[in-house]
Amino acid sequence: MNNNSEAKVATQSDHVPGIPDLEQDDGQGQWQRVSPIAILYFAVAVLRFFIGQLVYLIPPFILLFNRIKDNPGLAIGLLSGVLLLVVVSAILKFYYFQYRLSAGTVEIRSGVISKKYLNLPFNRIQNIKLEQPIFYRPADYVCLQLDTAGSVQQEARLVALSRPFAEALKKHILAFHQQAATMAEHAARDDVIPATTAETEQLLNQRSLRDLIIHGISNNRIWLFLGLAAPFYNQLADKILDGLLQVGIDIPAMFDPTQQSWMIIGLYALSLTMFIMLLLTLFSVFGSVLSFYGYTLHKKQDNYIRRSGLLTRHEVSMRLSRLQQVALKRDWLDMVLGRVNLSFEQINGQQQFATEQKIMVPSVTPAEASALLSNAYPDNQLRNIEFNAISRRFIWRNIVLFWIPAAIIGPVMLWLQQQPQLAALSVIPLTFWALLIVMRWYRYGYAQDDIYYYLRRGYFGVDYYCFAKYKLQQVQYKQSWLMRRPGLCTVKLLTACGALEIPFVKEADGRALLEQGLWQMQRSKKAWM
Amino acid sequence: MHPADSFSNLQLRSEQLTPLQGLLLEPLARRYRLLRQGVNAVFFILVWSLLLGLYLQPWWPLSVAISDASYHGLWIVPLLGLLRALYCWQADKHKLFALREHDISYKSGIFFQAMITQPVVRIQHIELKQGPLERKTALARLQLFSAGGAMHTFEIPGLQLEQAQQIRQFVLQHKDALQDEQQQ
Repeated sequence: MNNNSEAKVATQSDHVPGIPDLEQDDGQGQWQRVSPIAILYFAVAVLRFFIGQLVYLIPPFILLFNRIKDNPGLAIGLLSGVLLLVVVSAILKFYYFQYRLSAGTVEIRSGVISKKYLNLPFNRIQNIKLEQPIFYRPADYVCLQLDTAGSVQQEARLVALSRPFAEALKKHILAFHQQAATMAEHAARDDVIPATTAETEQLLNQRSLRDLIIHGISNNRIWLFLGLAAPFYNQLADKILDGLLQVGIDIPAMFDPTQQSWMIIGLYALSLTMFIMLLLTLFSVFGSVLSFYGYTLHKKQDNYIRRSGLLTRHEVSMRLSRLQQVALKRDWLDMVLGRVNLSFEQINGQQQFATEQKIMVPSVTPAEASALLSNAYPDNQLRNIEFNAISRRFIWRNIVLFWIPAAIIGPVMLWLQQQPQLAALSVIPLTFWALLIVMRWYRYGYAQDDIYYYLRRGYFGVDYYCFAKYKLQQVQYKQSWLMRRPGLCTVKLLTACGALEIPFVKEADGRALLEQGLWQMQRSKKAWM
Repeated sequence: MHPADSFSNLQLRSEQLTPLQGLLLEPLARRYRLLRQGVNAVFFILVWSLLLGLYLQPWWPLSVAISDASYHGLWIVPLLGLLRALYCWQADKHKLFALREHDISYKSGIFFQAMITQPVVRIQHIELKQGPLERKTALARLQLFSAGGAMHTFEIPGLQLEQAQQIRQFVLQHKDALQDEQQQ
């Protein structure tokens, strides 16, 4: 087996004293228990679980406290029952927790009622952490956490290993990685052109103050903040009115129809709205400058390095191999101003990667965006590829299933409640909604070439996504009962930074998308990160 | 590791590859369907007998509303149970899986059919899960984790234990599965 031969090389060159199992072949080692101190660890975990579950029982408990004081026997009984449960389950958990090491993998069996059997090859481990809860300290035990990119939770914990053993194991796993890495490098060396300008940083993009101001205007995130602050509006309004009154501006009087003519009130309202809009935009521009001031994007060997920030300088770097997908996003204001927000996206939603965020290049011009994209994906064809439209049934589905019911029920309800004006006015949002559905259909487009997938979507703005086929993690092919007859399907493509869905595609096209992607991915044998 | 070994798909012509559409799908274990029917039946019988007990018990006088509700419940609950049993039976029939050289597919759904295909090269780790009833009936659930996120964990329920172990072995021994990655 391939894995074993490789692992043997690793163990021979980097012999780990004290872990004889690591020289065993897969499935040959002995099942082992961790140190009994793990009982304490499990007890704490169970107790924590209990407390987490029972936290909402605390208020009734406090209310009943007087009764309990009168009748302590029951309470003590209950409490000792819970404690007994904790102890017994901790012991059982310890008893059933077993692990086995072999040349290339670690296996863990656990679970008392519901059994779990975990199998983790060393080369899938992304991150190794040693954790020492306070009660492990006297005897110097540690909990070894092995993370993979598979899910957000830590997948494997070897609870209660002695520190030297854990350190040795950690070293071994890391050495195993290096071994694999150097081998991969040897393999790759032939087709890599020796990097001549390896050490110098190459400037890819730079944002001027003007760009950042445009970014602030077109990406007004202040609305989010306003939404969050909604509960405090009343208090805030009172304070502001008080303040204005003190400097001699009486807003309620200005808007009082008994004191002013309608014309003047209209003018006041208009100018006030303009003023508030201006203020909000200024805020947004300020925020944009604050976070993106002095923005530069450099490339050094295979790394992208982003530096920006007015007060605190942030530096984010990302290896090109970690890049999962490039997104070019424009909302309607970006369309008007002729700008694009480009982002290099990498693995998503994983705590251990929190330090490595995606790299966003704010408000670049379409030409710059295209240059950046070509730098990352030299052979992409986003600029001249032809997108395929999705089926018109997408519109009908949304209209018939959602829009028509709402369009009938909403106005009728308002009419029945003696609100004919509101019923008539509801035509406006309904029309807008219908327009959104049609625009969504209009914007949806997909394409593929030998190497990349391209997806276009949006409403009034338009977003483009481009990713290499070998970054695929999983594919899904979906078809509802109503889609089967017209021969349509929905295709979902998963990468490590999220899922992209292409709805209402012709069956043959959907199959071709999946099949060719899988074929490319499996054939290329490239790693996804 | 053999860095430049042959990739067998290369030697095949593309029309010789089995398309996803033409896969011969295998059903889940029959025991799984029976187990689900059993659990369903036990649950609804339990609810029904509770209702019957409530309706017939002589100790508390029931209000008219509750008495009426439990009376109607006595025929509604078995009906629901029957509908669910029929649905589960059909749904379980539509749960199928297939293995190709380089990926595993799982198909499910009566009205909303979905086929998920997980390439073996992208599997990060594997879990074999067994609840108490599954252990009694020697069934197992196989979970394959990829970097596509926790929302998109690939799971095949109701496999015979030996079958699940074989698939796990297939994944672990797959020559690409343990080869790529980690070129950092």
